[in-house]
Amino acid sequence: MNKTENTQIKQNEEKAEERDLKELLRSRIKDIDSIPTIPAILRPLLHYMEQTVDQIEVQKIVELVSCDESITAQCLHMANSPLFGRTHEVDTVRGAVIALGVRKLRDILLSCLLVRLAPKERWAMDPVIFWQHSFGCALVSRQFARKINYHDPERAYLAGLLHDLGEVVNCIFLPEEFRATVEKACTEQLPFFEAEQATLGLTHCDSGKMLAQHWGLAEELTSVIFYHHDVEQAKLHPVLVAIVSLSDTLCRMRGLGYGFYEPKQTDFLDDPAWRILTREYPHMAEFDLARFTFELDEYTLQVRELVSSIFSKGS
Amino acid sequence: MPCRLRRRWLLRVSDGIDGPLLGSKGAPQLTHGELRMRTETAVPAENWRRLGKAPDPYLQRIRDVVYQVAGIFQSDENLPFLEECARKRMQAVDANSLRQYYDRLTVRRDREAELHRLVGEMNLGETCFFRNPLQLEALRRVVLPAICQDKNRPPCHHVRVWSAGCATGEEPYSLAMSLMETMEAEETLQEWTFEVLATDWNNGFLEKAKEGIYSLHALRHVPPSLQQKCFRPCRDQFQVTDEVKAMVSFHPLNLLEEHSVSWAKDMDAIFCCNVLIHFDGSAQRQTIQRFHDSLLPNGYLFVGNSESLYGVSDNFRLVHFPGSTAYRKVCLQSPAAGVI
Ligand SMILES: C[S@@+](CC[C@H](N)C(=O)[O-])C[C@H]1O[C@@H](n2cnc3c(N)ncnc32)[C@H](O)[C@@H]1O
Ligand SMILES: [Fe+2]
Ligand SMILES: [Fe+2]
Repeated sequence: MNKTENTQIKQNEEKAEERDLKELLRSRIKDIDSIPTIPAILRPLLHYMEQTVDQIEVQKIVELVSCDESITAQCLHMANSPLFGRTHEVDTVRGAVIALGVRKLRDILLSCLLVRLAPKERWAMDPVIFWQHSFGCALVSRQFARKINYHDPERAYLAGLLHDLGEVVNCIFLPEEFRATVEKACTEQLPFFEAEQATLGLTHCDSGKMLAQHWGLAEELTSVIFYHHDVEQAKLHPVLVAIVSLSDTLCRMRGLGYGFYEPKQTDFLDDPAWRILTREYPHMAEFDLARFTFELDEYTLQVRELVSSIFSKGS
Repeated sequence: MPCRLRRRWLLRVSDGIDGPLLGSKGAPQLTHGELRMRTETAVPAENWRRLGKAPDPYLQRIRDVVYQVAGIFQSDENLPFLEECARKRMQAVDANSLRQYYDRLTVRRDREAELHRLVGEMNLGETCFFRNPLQLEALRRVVLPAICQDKNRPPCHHVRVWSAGCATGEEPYSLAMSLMETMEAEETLQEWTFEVLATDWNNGFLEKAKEGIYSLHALRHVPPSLQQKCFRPCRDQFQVTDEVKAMVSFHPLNLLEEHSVSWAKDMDAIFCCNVLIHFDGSAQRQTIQRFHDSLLPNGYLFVGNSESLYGVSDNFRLVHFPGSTAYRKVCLQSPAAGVI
């Protein structure tokens, strides 16, 4: 057998392995609803809150949330954080709705729901770092969306929060394999999706999409989850994908990244996502990115504080 | 070609070691007391949002004018500090409210002078070693590898960095230490040479810089390994070692005098931190244009933390590194420029 044939066989084997891993993941994801650590109200609440704000009824939220004590507690903890601009202490979910409004409460609830997704032990990633990144990306996406007059900043928040959902999937369903990925990423200071490609042959974009489809998440969220590292390929909702993708990079450049120094230089004007937005919003040409960057630093500290306090409470 | 130019430049620099290369007329002679130390970030008394109190809208407007004119941004978190400074100025100019003071900064004929007095009140004068560690990290881990890769073809193994507005030397020495450390750690850089040109218009500062003696307080951000290697005790203070000193040359230079910077050519990177904020718009633009001329293609310009060149120049592009930013020279003759 000659050398080319040999490599051919090897490549085929690798392809088969990749397929197997994808199949394996797909079959494991089906079991997600029976995992005891994942709160039962997650799915109904997520679906309920995917609606536009004016369709959401306060009473219904209060009912859903009150079913789960620890979510209630965590939600109040967040509602009292300065990040949500609270003006006085709130101690009930209803009080929080009144003080903050449905919109903010929805953000808070979704954030704590997702934090609950993380298995408490044996997580390949540091959950604090992961949630700081996701939460930071949500806030930055919303702020960015507002700045450029994107019509639905709340959508951007949700999309930012969920964009790396696939990392959670990898942690839960491929715990051993993913541990090797994380190690490679940290030692070689690689972006996760590159390390995933090298070690798993699939990325968190693939696994995130599987869960998004299993849960029946909205099309634009699925698009963000799947394309945020390959924006040019996004046929559906490219603007939202671009907003989240840029926010993701900004977070990584401003201390809410993977938890290690990524030795790289980013010229946002060269980023395909930036080009997509410039096409859509001509006023992007005047965007003051330097100032926006400084403004975001305001969040960094508060996001850090909030997420670590959530975790140190052991909830 | 650039290498020859570089050698000529080096000669001129060494020629000038003993006497000032260029006159420094117009430089204010600051007293020693004005060198006083200050903690580097403007530490807010408390956080607005934590207090649950919205900042005064006129304070936010003052923040915006300061940003537009001086190019330095005070985040919400720093607004209490900005207010403190504004209140000091308000007393001096007899303004009764932030609103009145805002008018002072925008309506009156001497508004720009008052704005610079306010910026002066912010007392960004204090400098220290490793004032912006993430900026140095970017230099070491991202910028230097990029520069060295560029310079391998054709080979020219010399890198030079300019600290413009170097004050008493902490910044250029920090640059030298960072470069030295990288050079020692990277085998591929063994045959490279590095030099730092440091300029200021204040001769008193330059004298102190050349002496290189600092208090422990100025060294507080220096990584322990470098504290050991790059300083030696000197009475109850610390002196920069000769090895580090040899990498840095100090010269008086007024950034506002056109002819004075024309010889500073072929720079790979320029650090001009917390200087431009004291200049007015046209002086900023002129200085930036000269920096552009002084830089090699693709060279980098670093400015201070929370300083911005937005609207000052189209010849530079903002680039992000983890935790810091810089401006990269745009070369108009390069093919990519057609797209911009
Ligand atoms: C705040 S210090 C900055 C020191 C150092 N770059 C840092 O960031 O820590 C500003 C320095 O700029 C110098 N400077 C101000 N105007 C200048 C001018 N027109 N030409 C040269 N230097 C000037 C001052 O003498 C002072 O030393
Ligand atoms: Fe991602
Ligand atoms: Fe991400």
